[in-house]
Amino acid sequence: MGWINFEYYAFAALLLWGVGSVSLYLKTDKQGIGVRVPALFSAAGLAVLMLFILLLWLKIDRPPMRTLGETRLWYSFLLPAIGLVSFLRWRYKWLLAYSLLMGGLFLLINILHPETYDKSLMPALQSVWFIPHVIVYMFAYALLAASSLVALKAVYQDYRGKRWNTLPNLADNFVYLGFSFLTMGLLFGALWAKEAWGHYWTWDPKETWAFITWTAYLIYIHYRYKHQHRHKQAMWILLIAFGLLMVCWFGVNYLPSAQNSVHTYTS
Amino acid sequence: MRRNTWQAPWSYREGVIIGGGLVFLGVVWQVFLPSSGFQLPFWPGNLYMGLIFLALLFTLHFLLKSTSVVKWLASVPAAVTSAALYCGLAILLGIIPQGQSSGSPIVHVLGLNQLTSSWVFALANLYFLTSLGLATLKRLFPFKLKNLGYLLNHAGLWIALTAAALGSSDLQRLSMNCTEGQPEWRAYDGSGQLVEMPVAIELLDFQIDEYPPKLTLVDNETGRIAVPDKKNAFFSVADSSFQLLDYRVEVDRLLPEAGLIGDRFEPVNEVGSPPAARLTVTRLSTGDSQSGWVSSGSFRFQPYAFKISDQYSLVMLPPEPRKYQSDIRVMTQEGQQLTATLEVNKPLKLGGWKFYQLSYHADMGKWSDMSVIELVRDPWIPVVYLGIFMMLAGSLFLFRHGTYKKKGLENGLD
Ligand code: HEM
Repeated sequence: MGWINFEYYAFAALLLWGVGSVSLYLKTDKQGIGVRVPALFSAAGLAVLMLFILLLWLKIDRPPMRTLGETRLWYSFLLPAIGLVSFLRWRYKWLLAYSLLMGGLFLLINILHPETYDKSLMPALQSVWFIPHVIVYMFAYALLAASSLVALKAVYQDYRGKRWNTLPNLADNFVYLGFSFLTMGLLFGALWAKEAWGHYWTWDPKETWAFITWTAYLIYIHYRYKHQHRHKQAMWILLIAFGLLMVCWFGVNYLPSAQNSVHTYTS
Repeated sequence: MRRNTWQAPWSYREGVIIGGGLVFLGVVWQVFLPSSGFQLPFWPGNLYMGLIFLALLFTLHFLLKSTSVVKWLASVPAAVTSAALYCGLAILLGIIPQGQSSGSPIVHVLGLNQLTSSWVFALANLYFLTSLGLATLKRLFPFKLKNLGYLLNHAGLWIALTAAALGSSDLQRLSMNCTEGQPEWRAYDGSGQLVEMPVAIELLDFQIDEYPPKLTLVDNETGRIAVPDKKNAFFSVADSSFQLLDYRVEVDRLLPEAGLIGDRFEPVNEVGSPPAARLTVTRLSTGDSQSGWVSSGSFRFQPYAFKISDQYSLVMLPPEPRKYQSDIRVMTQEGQQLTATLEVNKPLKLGGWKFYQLSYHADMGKWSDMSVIELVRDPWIPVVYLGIFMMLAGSLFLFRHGTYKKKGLENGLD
């Protein structure tokens, strides 16, 4: 149990998502089937993954949110979940397909780079803030990743000379929601840091990069508000912002400044 | 339509020039002013500074509103350029190690290894807060309910950042090394300066609760972990039995505190007695089985490995702390006393100070009779929290941004 047979769950989810993605692009006459079949397969894959997350949680006796591998697990759940909800709501086939692909990619990374399923949780992480802080952040990251998928699509369509005028509005929907969660995550983190380390903000490298990411999306929101028709520049701001988010998430551990960070729990 | 620089309405070009000018000014001051960096006054000087800043913003807003500078400072291009400047400085902060002396003279002269107290950082902060403050005032008067979300976000951020910046000079973070049975009133600040506290702390008892130790297989020659498969490289003794490479390991006996007697371990009750376990190992491909002891060792005793073949040994890792806590007695000069338990994430509040369990004598582990307690005084924190809670409320308004965007269109902002 636990990470030990993660492969089975992961392959089951990958298979279901694979079938779901293919069924998205099959031609059917009936409108209902074209929506329901892919939605059902995607949802089944999500259910398998959620089951695994819950079993892992029970098994290791602490929330599975500590290591990078564990956060990737949440990500590979939340991103397809967002893709599915927006598919049901706005019928964006490509978005569901891409988010399933990204979710699947993260599952593959976890299969190739398994980690110890270590039960220990250092005392600083044992706090009521731990779960809300991490969940809210994972939500934010997944929504903001969805917005960058939209931006990528927009830039690609633009490059091919095709229409993409509805995409920036979709990106905005994701960014506003994602930024809201990002702000909450940042502030929960500050309130928690005060309880655990005595100060709410110490410009620790992880905090610093979280702040950088936050300002980048702040710039996007304001730029969009002021210049409703400069779509192309806005999409590029969004892509740069996501690059900074990736540094915050994965890259910080490798930076020279991170040697004495309190937030780098590599394992 | 082409617009010359500095011709109204100002936009990004002016923002970049002003931002660049501030960086230039900051660098010049950093290099040529005698003190190394920007020094905020203590209470009440910082309060006066805050009030003057606020008065200045109100004056700009109410008396000079129609000038192109003020209009521009309260606009999106100023917000974007000042946020970008702040973001750029934060990137430097996120790359260059802070608070350490650096080999590079450029880093040293420009104060890049103490960026948050450099002039450039202070000026960027001022620019950002001026823009944010004026943008807030612009929608605060006259007050309209539909602007509530905007005001919570913008005023909240302004209040939190301003209070955090001004309050940083009044923030005191001290640490005190308390040894069991000896009242202590000497604390040290970040630079190692002694500060005498008006209260004394006596450590009554320090306790650590540990996770069960883990076992792994190492290569006798290299001393490295021999299991290439990272996910199954360690096992907790509590999870017996388990498999490491071709070996099945069973824990027959676990002694939380043990001493080596001859070639076996027995329970003992002595300071520094490490955990030990008796294991039975079966080689799955041959069915051969053997038994032996492992122990993690401690600050007093050597670790003990179980050599299971020419190639491999089983070893026990030192147990990790699950929880640590200090029972303390706090005594004031007036002779009042109070006892409390400090734990990570559970600080104690007393007379404007907060007491935190920080660390302990890590080499001694659970036998440490010393506990490091951090004492923090941050009188501005209620104001910072006011800002934070305003922003938390404001973040909920972002859920329904559709209304924002339509308003923008109606107002013809573009
Ligand atoms: C918590 C952070 C922030 C959030 C969530 C936020 C959000 C927003 C939103 C949603 C709008 C559109 C307003 C509307 O539709 O009514 C806006 C406008 C604006 N924001 Fe922010 N903002 C934040 C921080 C800042 C900062 C740091 C600045 C300046 C340095 C700033 C300056 C402005 C300006 C100038 C406008 C345009 C106002 C107008 O023209 O009436 N904001 N902001």
